[in-house]
Amino acid sequence: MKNKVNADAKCNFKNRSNGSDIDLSKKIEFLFDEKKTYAYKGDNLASALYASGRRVFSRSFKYHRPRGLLCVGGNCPNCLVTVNGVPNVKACEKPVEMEMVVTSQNSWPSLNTDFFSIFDKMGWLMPVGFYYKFFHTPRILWTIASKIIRRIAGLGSISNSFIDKGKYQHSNKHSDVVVIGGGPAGMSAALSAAKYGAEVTLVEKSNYLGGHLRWNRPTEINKIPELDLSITTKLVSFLSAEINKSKLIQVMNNASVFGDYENNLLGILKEKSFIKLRAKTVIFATGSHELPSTFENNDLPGIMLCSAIQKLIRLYGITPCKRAVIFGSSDFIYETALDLNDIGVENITIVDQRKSIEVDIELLDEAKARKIEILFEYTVLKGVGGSDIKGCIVAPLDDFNKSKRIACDLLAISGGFQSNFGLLQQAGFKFRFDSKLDQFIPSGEVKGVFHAGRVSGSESVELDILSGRKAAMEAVLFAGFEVPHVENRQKEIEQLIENNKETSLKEDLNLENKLKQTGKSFICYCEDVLVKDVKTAIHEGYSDIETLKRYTTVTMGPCQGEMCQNTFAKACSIATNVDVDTVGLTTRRPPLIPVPLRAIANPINLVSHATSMDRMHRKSNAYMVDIGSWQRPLHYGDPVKEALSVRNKVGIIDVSTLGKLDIQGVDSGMFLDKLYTHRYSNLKQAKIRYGILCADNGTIMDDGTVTKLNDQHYFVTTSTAGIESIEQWFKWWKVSMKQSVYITNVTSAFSAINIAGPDARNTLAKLTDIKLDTNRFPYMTSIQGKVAEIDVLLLRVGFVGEVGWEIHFPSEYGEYMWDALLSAGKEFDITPFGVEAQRILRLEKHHIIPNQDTDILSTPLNSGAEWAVKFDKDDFIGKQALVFDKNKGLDSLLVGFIMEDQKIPDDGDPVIMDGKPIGKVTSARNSPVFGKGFGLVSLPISFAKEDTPIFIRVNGENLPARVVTSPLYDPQGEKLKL
Amino acid sequence: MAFLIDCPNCGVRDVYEFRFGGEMVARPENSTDRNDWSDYYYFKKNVVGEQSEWWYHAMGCRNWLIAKRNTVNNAVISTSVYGDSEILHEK
Repeated sequence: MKNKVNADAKCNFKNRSNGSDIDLSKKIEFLFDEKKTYAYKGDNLASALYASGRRVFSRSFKYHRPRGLLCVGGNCPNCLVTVNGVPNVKACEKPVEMEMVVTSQNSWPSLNTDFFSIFDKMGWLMPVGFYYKFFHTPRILWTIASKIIRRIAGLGSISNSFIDKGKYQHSNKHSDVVVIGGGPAGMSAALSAAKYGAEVTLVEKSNYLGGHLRWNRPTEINKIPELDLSITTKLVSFLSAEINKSKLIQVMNNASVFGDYENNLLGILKEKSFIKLRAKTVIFATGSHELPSTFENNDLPGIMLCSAIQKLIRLYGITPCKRAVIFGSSDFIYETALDLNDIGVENITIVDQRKSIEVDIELLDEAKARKIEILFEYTVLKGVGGSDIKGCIVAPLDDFNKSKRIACDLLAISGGFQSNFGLLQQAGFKFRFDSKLDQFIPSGEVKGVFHAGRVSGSESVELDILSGRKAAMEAVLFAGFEVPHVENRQKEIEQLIENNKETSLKEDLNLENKLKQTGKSFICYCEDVLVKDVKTAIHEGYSDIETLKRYTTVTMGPCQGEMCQNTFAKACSIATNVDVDTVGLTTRRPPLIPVPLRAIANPINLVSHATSMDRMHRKSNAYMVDIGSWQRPLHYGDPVKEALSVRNKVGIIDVSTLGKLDIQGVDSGMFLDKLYTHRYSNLKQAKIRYGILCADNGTIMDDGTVTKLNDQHYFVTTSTAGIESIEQWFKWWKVSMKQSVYITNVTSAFSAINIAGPDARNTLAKLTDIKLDTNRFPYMTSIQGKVAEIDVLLLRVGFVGEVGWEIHFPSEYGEYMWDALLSAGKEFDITPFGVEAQRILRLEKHHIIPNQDTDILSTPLNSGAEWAVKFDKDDFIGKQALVFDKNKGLDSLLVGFIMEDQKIPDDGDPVIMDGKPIGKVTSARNSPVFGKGFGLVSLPISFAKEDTPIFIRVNGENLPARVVTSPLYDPQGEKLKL
Repeated sequence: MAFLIDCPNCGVRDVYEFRFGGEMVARPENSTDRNDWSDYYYFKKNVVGEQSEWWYHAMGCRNWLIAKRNTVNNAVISTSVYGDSEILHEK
């Protein structure tokens, strides 16, 4: 049925002829292992290096055997190289660029002469499971051995000096139908879906559409409606042109789908961008890939898959050999033989495991006409050669003793095909082993996900096209589009598919013949696992495919099972005497291809907030730190001096980062009563009250102040870090209580400066007409007015324990206000202070910092803030839990301490009594006022009494301290009220 | 998690714009029984199947909504703003 088509390309061994991907007029130069190498535009590293005569591309993982090109399709580990410092790049997928620096991996001193290849002779020393068997005792042995093994075994190494400077773009895309794979099935599916009106995204891994049609030998096509073509060569250009014409199809090429996640979310890596593509429905047309055969030395350089040879010929214009042996058991090997013959390779031997009657008659006649030698019912027993193949030993299937040697410089093999099932597995499909197709194919259905073409088990171009159309129809129906005369069309396409199903004559060969277990016949190229290793492991008891995978590491290398999964399952089947279907597959999880972490982690998304006074701090040489998402000055040079200035003169601090909520509405007072432990509804207008927010288990969430502006309007401050969750918390209670409250987060709208110290009043008075004396503006009250001509809200709060005001004002005046205060305070020696000085000052007043001095078990009761809990209120969040706690009595209490000597503990240092830890320092600093270490400590209730001696372990030394129950500085709070 | 939520205010959005607020549970408002409170606070139903739950559209309208979701396959069946018929907490 399949007619040959004369390919007119002719070339000789030395020169390159015209390949479809390369441009012979443009030469590119690059470095491979410090040697200048040439390529043509369009070449990838594999084709350029192969054309330059290179046969050894890498050294294998364990035995350091030389390895050459095998698949030229990104499915095997043989061509991994380091490109411009990035290790483990597949040469066959990396386009050559000018002045690229490429180095080989895992060899020493060089790729051609690798001293470690001694391990190839010592294979008997390294049986399967070798680490587990030899390095368990003594333990020290493994620590030594692991260092050596890791140096010898492995892939490329990460460069210490190389920094990937490129940035990855992130984008989100949506599409009605996403088709993955730009081969005939994918192209036809995309076109059909677009015809029904769906928006389609066609994702293709390579730069070109066409899939296997681009390199396979052209064949005739049977008549299909709406496709007036008779030959596959014209199909690609025809379909591509149709796709380009369609306004509904967007082609995304050079894009690899690395994961299919929930609800049809596809993770895609396209050059330097990371795309999240959401599809209403997905059609997988991911195709299939060719598999190697297993025989002794099946990994020698010069042994290549038939599809790889077709790629070298058609895409890159390379004549790969002078004398070829082609081995397999399908018609594909005849097509490859004819392809080689077309370009001038005359000396070809076909080793076919089948009988002659099983071969397509036209292909067979053509091969005979071209004087190609054919050995029927023969098999290859062994590859011969070192760093390049010299020949192979072949024998009749029924008598291996009658073996003979055939010389060759290329052994083309075809061990069958396997559908690219990785993404389908992730989508939720189950797989069954089809013995006729000799591969695993998807079975069952998954909602909203369809498949077509080779991945579904198609073997012909006609079926590719038709199954693509069928999948498209199902997909658009699922996505909610209308298909006119659906039932007729469905029937029609089913009928066409039925008509085009080829009755395959392929007979299932005895598996034993396919898996020759002698010598070094590799199942897994990535991890150097032999057929006999799998057998041994099964003998040792690892008979389930999942445990076997982990023990032998088959399918766990860089190719992730592409080359070995199918053969592995068969090997298990033989050794355990269970059919292949029952053995099953291991799972391929995302990412299917290596994805740089920096492609997914997006530093652009990290939020960094600056206050409106940020530039002023930096001008004053502030040492900035990240606090939450904010950048704040830790200090301006000397935090101790800053703290003393506040105590003795006057200081200002930028407190714009305080969370600020504007609460309005008739239910505001009631609402705040419910959320805070304190009471607010009885608060007089313009008064301020400190408050603690608890969860319903009584633990502290946050604290802050509440200012009553009027009966229906409150101004709430929260901690810097807490605002986001507190806003959510407030809104949640508002919604679930259905109260008439309006909550607005005004954190960024208002900036705030706290001015504090004995001279704060004098400084502020220079800028405002508001009367600041303590009778007209008492402690814990607020006034709205003007400061430096700006409308402000002045809150007289304690904050650092001195007379002071918090000035809240529109953020746009930040720099102006900061400057105005500094100028006004110049005569009083005003000092800006940072977060460190603030911590010292607030600690001297025993003000707690939520989440620093509290943990998930801290309640207002055990944090010494019982005064802020109003148990007589009807209800508040956390009330019942606190009632239970109070009735039970406290176990521990947060109290102050002061050191007896000069040493200062760290935050978190333990309190030791009788050799046991009994408590923990939550905050500790050196007090500039008292010249001693002090802080807050959580202690058992029996120790939480004034003057109780305790010992704090600082750097391994138990140092004496004593408990102080009232604030160290100004215990009665008299200074606040001056 | 990679599903979409139809925010009643903003439209269909990626779940990563939202913050999960837990399953809808009634607060034992007037109870003084300790068990009621620990059940409410610490013990979730962990339904296998459909449940109503809170979601906060943090990177959108910054409002709470209720989504009915199947916990097995993350299918969001419906979304709504909190309605009159569903008062969980007394004033």
